[in-house]
Amino acid sequence: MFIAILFVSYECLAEKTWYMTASVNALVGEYSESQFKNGVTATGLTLSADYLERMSFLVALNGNNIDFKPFFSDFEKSLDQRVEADIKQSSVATKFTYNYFTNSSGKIMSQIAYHTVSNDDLTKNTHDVTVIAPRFSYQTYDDSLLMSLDVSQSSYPNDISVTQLVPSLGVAFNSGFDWLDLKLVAVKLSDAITTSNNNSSDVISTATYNAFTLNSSSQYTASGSFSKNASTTIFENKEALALDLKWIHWFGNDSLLNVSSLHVGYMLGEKMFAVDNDAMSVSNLADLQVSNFSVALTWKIKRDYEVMLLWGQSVYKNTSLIVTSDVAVNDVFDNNGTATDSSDDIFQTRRILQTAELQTEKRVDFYTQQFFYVNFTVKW
Amino acid sequence: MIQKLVCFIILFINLMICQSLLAESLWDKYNQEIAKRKQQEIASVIKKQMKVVRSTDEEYGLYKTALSYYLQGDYNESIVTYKKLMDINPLALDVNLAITLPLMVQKRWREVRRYAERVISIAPWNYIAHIRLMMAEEAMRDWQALMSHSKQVAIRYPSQSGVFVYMARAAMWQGDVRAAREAYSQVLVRIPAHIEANRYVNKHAEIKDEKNFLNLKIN
Repeated sequence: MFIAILFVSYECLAEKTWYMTASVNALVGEYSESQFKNGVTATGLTLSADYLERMSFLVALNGNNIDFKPFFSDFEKSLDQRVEADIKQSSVATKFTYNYFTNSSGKIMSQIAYHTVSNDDLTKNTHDVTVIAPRFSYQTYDDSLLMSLDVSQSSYPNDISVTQLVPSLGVAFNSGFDWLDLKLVAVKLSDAITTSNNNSSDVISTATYNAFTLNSSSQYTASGSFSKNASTTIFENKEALALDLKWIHWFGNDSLLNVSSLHVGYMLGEKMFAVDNDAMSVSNLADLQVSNFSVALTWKIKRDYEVMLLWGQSVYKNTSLIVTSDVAVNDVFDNNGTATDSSDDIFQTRRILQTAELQTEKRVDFYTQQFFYVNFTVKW
Repeated sequence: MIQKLVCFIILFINLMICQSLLAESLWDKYNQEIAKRKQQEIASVIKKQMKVVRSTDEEYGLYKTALSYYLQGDYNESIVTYKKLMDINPLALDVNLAITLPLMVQKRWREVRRYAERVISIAPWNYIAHIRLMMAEEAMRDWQALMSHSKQVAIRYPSQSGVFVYMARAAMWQGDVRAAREAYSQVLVRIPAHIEANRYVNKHAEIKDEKNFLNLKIN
């Protein structure tokens, strides 16, 4: 009996209780008609471990590089000072999910996700971003209905915070071969943000494209360390609302090219600083997304491998302030904005502080991003 | 814009609720009520005898308690009680099989697979364990595993039509029309009026029957 129990215990240990998934992905994007950006490349690695159906852990690592144009205005071009304005960014995201199985018709999924994003944006306004995002979902056992509420609280430097609420509803139809997902994404930025501490800075900021500042006293305020290659994104609204629609169709056995599933996504409305806890991504850069369309195909290769190819197109509309004046070329300003000395050093002359009266121009950058995404998943 | 979006979502939710209410017909409610009463009767009888049963044989008492919970629809308590039984006697095959019932209701297929495989590790060709494992493999869409598994079970239980149904579905989802048709033909030999098999065979009537196309060999 004892030996038998030992044997069974050993067998229990040998039982499969952990289900592992690893995926690698790469993205290449091109910005057409953008005044500031050329393109983006990104790579990512995701590892997840499920303990039966009860709980799962996920870690996602991501790195991307945004390639900016060397000059943002004719003024800057006249200076002929190319600046490495590109932004290199890395992010780590973790997620823990616990499933509670009810006695009625479905399961309740509670989830907590944590994101941290760091980059080399010299303004530091989009660097060191953290996001905490709980989610509660209910899914019927027959997988015909999924309801969820996702709350994300993002913390940016200078006490800026962004709150995002995402109620969503997913329904299956066509005997489970199709799935329609509706997601309402509501984003609200925090009030009363200032960047007056930039006055004390001697550092010349070079890549401020993604800097953003807000002030509750006016509809919009742009401030910060204007400098060579200066461009500060501004928001005329502190709230954004978008509707994400996603349709997935699973093919049967006789599909063309052995495609397993087709995914079509469409976005209406406006989205900014969005957090996606399905894709485990944070849009920390100050881009206002006004539409998105994507289409993807997946192939299941043997039992444990899957490939996804996705093509998408997003439209962004950014309103930015850029420096257009050469007022400061021959002057150096002190912290009070008073011209103090002359210098031949272009960088010294650009030590311009907010009090200096720079001529800026409000410019709307309305551009399209086309991207191609590949994901390879292995399960064991 | 925002108002339009909100209106659209509210309309959509209403549509879904109406659809689900219509789907539950009067007869569904009637059948549920009858089943509920029967379960309650069984539960009350077991409850009365529980003290006597548990005082004489704790293991059997717990088994009946777990079954009672399952019949009453308290699947979580049923699973907890079955696990207590496993602590008492990990070799109890009926307990390892019984726990798969509430797990199947909750669609916890990985756990169904775990306990079915545990039974198979002790009693390699237990038919019920293999059927439940095949159910889990089908639910998890593990068609390769289901195909090779169902072939092995079909060799041991050639009279059972259910095994050939799983084999046919596995072949169908892998795009192997000939194997699927052959497996469904085997189903029709055993149950001529089988709807699913008839539908598939008639749809692929152009394919000629090939003897032993499935190539059932003992692994």
